[in-house]
Amino acid sequence: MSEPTLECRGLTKYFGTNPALHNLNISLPAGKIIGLLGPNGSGKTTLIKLACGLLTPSEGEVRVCGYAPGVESKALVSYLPERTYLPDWMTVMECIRYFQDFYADFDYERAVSMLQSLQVPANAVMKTLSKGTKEKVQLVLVMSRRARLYLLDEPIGGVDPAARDYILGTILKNYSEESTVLISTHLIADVEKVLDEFIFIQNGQLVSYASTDSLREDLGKSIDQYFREVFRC
Amino acid sequence: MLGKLIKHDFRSLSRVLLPTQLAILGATILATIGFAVNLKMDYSHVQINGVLSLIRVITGLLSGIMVVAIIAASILVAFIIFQRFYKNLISDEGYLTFTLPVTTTNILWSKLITAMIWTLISSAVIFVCLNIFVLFGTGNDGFVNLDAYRAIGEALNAVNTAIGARVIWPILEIILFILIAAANNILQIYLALIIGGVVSHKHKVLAGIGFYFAINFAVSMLMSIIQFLFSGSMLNSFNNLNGIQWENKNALEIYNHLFGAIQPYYWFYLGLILALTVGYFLLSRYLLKNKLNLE
Repeated sequence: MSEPTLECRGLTKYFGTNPALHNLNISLPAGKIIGLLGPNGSGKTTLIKLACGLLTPSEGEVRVCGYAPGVESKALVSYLPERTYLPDWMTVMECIRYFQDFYADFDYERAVSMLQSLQVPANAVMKTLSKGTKEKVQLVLVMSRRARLYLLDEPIGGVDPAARDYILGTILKNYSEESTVLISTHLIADVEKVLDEFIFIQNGQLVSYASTDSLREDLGKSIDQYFREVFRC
Repeated sequence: MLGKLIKHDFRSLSRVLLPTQLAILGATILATIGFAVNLKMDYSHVQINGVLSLIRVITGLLSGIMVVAIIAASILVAFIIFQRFYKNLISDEGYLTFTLPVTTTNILWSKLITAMIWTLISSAVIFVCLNIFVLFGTGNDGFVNLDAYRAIGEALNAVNTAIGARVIWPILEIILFILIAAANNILQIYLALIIGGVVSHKHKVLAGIGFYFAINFAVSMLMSIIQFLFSGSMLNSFNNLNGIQWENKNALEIYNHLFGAIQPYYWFYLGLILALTVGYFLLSRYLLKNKLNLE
């Protein structure tokens, strides 16, 4: 079998004395859309930040297509943070050029057509856009790359349901055989239909990693139902 | 990739900094016109009427605008350079900057190089403005005033005949020193901002300012200790100057003695500042790579 797209071995991250992630071992294959699900503070964002090199592990290691976080891995990872990270003085078009300049796998045509479908004005300055529109721009940029691993942290939290459907449709349409999409979200019911697999984590530890189909076949449950059972308060 | 980083960073800085330079230029032109008019006004009449005295006051004030503009713009240039650094690396934009497929080393280099380029640009603009002012604003009888340039030319000629082309060496040494000192200052503030971002969660900028003064204090302590340790041996090169019969020497010989005596100091101090600069760079890189926890 080929190299896993994302591999964590004994991955541990402490913030002070609190372990945000503790001895996480997981290996994600290529060609899947995977939900990263868990209650607040379970370590979802920490895992994503470690994978894209924004944090360094306290112990263990994380690899993307065999590469430790660095220039090579960053060229393969398309990351959507849960906040707006684009300079507010740039226009939407300038943001596109910026991505095009730095990422060899950026597809300009795709970005422009997605912006048109979402009716985002290409010449508007980021500062003048609403929060939801800014999130759309970021998602368009991130999904316009032909990356090997997409790390989407709460990609649909701030946009309206219609845009949500379009975005999920876009994710489904754009990802290819060799790329993996990891989506962290609370809105399980909304993303459930696109997920091939799901990961539950809690308190920085893996609770379960299974395929959506097997959950349906074996237990006759949806991820949403299963989530409510596992993480009952 | 370094080239792309520099290109984008330069563009983002220039967008804000170019208008400040145009403002200096505008103020210079106003001041130059004001000063020239003021100088050429005929004060020989005994009674100066109201309009004339009003023009005198206004033209006099105009030249003050230039000084204010130069000072304000210089402060603004420095402020914006460091504000861009903070926003790009330590605020939310850091999520973008640090997930680009570039090394942390290149990110730091791009920030240093663009800051240096803009420091040079703003210095050059001030130099040009002062020249415009002297050339067109201070002519007593004609439209342009070439007296100052004539005087500088004559002085340079005199130096050239006395000691020749080797006068280039002290000039090069001064330029080298200014460049390294500028890089040193920029990287010191960068490092302070990074430490502020690493240790503080809420008041990153304030912490950065605090660390700037802390680093300054530590460096001046270090400098005092080093000066104390080496003062004995350093003085030797000046002791050699004792007993020289200065009155029997020509300009070239005096130059050679003094330039030679200064050299050990110069290179020692330059090496020290260079070492600090490299230290700031390496420490900044380490912290950005391993310790920066973006919220």
